[in-house]
Amino acid sequence: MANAAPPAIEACGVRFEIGSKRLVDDVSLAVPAGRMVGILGPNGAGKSTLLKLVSGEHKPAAGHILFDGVPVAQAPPALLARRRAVVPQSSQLTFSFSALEVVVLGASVPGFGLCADHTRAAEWALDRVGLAHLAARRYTDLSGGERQRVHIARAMCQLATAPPSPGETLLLLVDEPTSNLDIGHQRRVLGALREAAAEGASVLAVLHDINLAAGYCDSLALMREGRLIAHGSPEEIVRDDLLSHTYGCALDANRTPSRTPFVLPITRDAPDGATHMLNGSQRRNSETAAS
Amino acid sequence: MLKPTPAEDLGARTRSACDRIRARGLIALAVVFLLTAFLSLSVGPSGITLLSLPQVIAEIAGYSAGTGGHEALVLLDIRLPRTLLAMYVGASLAVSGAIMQGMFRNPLADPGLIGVSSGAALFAVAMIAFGDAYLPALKAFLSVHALPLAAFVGGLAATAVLVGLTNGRRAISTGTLLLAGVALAALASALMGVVAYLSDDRALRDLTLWTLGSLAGASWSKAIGALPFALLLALLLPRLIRDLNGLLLGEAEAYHLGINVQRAKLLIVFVTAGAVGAAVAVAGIVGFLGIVTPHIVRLVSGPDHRFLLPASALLGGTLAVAADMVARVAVAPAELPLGIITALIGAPFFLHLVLRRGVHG
Repeated sequence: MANAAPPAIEACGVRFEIGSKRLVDDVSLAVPAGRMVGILGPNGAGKSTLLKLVSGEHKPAAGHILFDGVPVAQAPPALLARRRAVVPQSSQLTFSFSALEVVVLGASVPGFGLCADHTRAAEWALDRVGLAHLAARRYTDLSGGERQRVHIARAMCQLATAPPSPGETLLLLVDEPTSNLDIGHQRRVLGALREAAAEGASVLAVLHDINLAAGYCDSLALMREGRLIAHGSPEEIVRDDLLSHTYGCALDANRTPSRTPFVLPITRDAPDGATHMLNGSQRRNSETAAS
Repeated sequence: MLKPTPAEDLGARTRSACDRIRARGLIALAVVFLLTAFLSLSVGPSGITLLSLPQVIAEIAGYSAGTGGHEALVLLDIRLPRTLLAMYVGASLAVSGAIMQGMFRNPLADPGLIGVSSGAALFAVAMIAFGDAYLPALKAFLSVHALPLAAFVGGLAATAVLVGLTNGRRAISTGTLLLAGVALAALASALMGVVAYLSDDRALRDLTLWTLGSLAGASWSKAIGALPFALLLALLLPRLIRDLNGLLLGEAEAYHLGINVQRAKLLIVFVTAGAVGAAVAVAGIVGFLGIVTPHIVRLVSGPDHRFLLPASALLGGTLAVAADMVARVAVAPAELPLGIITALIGAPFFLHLVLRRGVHG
């Protein structure tokens, strides 16, 4: 991984526990500005908890996380919110907002500020996630995927309306942004995040789809049982042995002809060589690697 | 970086229209609010009518010799403070309802229904019954503010119990909130009964007025007692708007938006306890204004607190003044307690909401 820029996010020996259960254990991770990092791992690996530690929502029991050199745990919420937005895994709304109104809630305008100040940014953000046509639709009438995109737009609106802070990195923290989406929308959402990274923001996304993560992220962080197993480029991470060990099941990693890594589960009754269709010669014996 | 460029500006017209509609809505509500208040000055057993009102006002101002001051006295010392207090009670209960619904993320929260008003009333009644005997120096020092302050403490205690029930991440369920409110209200009224038994006749007679709510005893001293709380509510309201809008998304989301959630909740609890406490201290438990008003506003404007809070204040004040007018004339020359009128209108409305949403909604 090319690592010329100083890291925007630097986690050092971070530990977090609830009761005696250690959810995140001695994790050190550096995310440079303008990079999109995917956090992968099985359920309960501590991915979301790590994201909450980076957002400042949880305070680490040991270690520290620096955001542009400032310790996140001690930073006041308002200061963080100017440069860091979070898209939660799921969000319940009690009152019937329109999609646009939900996005406007992300805007950082205090008091009785007029609609026009932030509605502009909200409309722009909705357009960016491809939902401009649903602005007036009630949030409760939206599909799961549309709701997820509304919250991504809200996060973008938050950063767009924050007072400008030259020289400081913007950070997007996203928890499973594609879990409810079909493949077309998955690509659109990850494309929007990719674009944000291209414009200089750091993006930290918890993802479940290894292939999508490998296709869109600059680097992948692999977690298991609260520990960071590996962090590196998709080529370094998408490997039979590493993934099979992390997820505890037999996985077959491969490369497309354009060298993009991908992975397929090995099912017992799969005809031998099913994955040879793309790049048979590179296939290794995954069953051996998994054991 | 990550900002809309001018070329991406999408619909300037719809936005300024949104601001214009809101501004017009607030102006219209304010006009109705003032007109209702004016009308209220002309309603009552004494013979000041809408037509003679300008003349009486002119007399008070010293521009015309009048009827010997009786009507001016009625207007100044009885109807004016009563109208002002109705405006305050309605506005503060409606705003408190809207704020509590936002904080609990539950549209069925109402200071009367969830026991906050009962807690306030208990402490106010206790102050009346025992203040002179046990805390004479304090009561004398606080003078007209003694009752509102006692009610504030009672409201605070009740709200603290309810906030303790919310477990942070999830919105409190309607069932839990209402059941806890029922328990709190039952406990408070039982204790009020105890207080009534322990004290003399005067406080006992007051008790029905406390539990049913009435503005019959409105006076300037009560208005002055409530004034600090009215000012505090008005001053802090703009600060609460962004906090409440953020909290609608959830407490974690509010934190992500830069809101200091614990501080915001503390402020909200104090502001609502103060507003409800002062309202209860001057008018007893007036129910349902806190739930009916924000609901009507939300139907029209959506749940954004930038409009919801000021609009609820104006509409709540209007409704309370109107209800108090009905209370004064419905069974004239006798008078109905204000809380009966608001319950007659509000309880069916509330029932309708519960039936439509289901308790778990």
